[in-house]
Amino acid sequence: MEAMAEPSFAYNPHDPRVMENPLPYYEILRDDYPMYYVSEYDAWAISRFEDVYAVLSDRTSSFTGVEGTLMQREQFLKENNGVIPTWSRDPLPSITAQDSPDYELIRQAQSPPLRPRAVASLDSVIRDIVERRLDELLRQRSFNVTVEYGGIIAASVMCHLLGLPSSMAREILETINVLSTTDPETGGLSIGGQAPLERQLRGLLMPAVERGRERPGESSLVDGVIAYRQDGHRALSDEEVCRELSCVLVGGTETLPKIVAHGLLELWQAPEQRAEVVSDLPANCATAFNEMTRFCAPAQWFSRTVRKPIVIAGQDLRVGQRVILLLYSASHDPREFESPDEFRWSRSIRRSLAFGFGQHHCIGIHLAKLEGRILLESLLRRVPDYEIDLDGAVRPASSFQWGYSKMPLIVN
Amino acid sequence: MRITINWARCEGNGVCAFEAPEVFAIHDDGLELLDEHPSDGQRRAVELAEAQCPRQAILVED
Repeated sequence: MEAMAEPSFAYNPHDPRVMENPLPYYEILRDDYPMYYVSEYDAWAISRFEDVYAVLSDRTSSFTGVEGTLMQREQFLKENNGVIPTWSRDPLPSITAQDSPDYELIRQAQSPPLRPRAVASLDSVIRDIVERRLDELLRQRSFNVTVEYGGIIAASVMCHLLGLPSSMAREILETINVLSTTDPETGGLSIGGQAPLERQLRGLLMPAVERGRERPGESSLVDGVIAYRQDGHRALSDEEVCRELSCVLVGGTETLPKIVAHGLLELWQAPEQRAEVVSDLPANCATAFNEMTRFCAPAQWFSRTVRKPIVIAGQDLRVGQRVILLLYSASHDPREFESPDEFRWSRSIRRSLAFGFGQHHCIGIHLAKLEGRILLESLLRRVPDYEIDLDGAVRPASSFQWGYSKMPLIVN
Repeated sequence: MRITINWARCEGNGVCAFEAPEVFAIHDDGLELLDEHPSDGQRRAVELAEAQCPRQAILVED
């Protein structure tokens, strides 16, 4: 009698079953296929912490983000056949798709308001936004903590950073959320990639750019990009300035609310941990948020293109191939984190890839940590015994940001 | 302990300043190493800074 053939394991980040729930795939990849070849894309899916770290910490310039650090499926389907595609310097693409020397220079132009001291000076502004929002929300019996709390606040902080009126927060949030949860075929958000996304972001950012040209001094972020000169002399067009600001705008709006919402779910499901955190909020929320960035960060992967031949985890990588760096898998790798699938608010984390590493390391890390800490502190102080309606929680399929778009929090 | 900074790599990300604020400070013009020989009490913080610097610009030696 013929034996039934075992269905062989297959992974593709845009496979609808993967987008629905990638977790079972990651364990198999880490254990059995740490360097997994996605032949359709000429790409290697890398799932172990050590190997993702090896790629991101590479100092031989063997990897580049010039095809974009979050490639769309149709980009993957076009193989490079050993040749890196050329990229434009005029018009300048999004920072996420640039390489040295432009990358470091445009990053420096945007860094000043995101450095530790500049961010620390936003403490009271952020607390004020948060407390006023809680005043409004706590009049209701329940609300979607992802959108109405974390989302509105993250978008409001972006408005402040860009010198836009805070009344634009909801429009910004809705634009970015819609764009990142559309098409299950393409898997969602691509910063600076798809034309409709770019156009809508330009619509949001253009008032900030126009005002920045007329009245500098209201946003050091906008001023910095306007003042930037490529090759020491070329100023950027309005369109280019909008494109360069898009990374911070989207990065600062999309991820944080999902981390906080999921984190609040974890604390609600572990009441003894919640009680420990609540026992000393000023001391504990930064640590709890840190574990949340490991456990709850919704970004599943980022991509790079191989620029020079290199060996990773014993595998030869050829020029033009891509790597799919499964950050979420790395953050749950038992080879790096003890009992990684347990949420432990006080976990001691030595190395983290939640904010990436190397050249494209998250430029907003300090702002994310400050906002995250304040969001937790303020809510836990005022509603330490909140409940979550888990049946009402929604985590849509996505190849990129697999996070809770809806997390109903019930005020007790 | 001795801290060495690879100044060519440092780009002022400030992850070090977050982990060990008594040893590292980020100003508008970049990193200031406040203490080249921190005390043993700073060991954990300084080793975290070394591990987490995204540009691997920090070296901690005994």
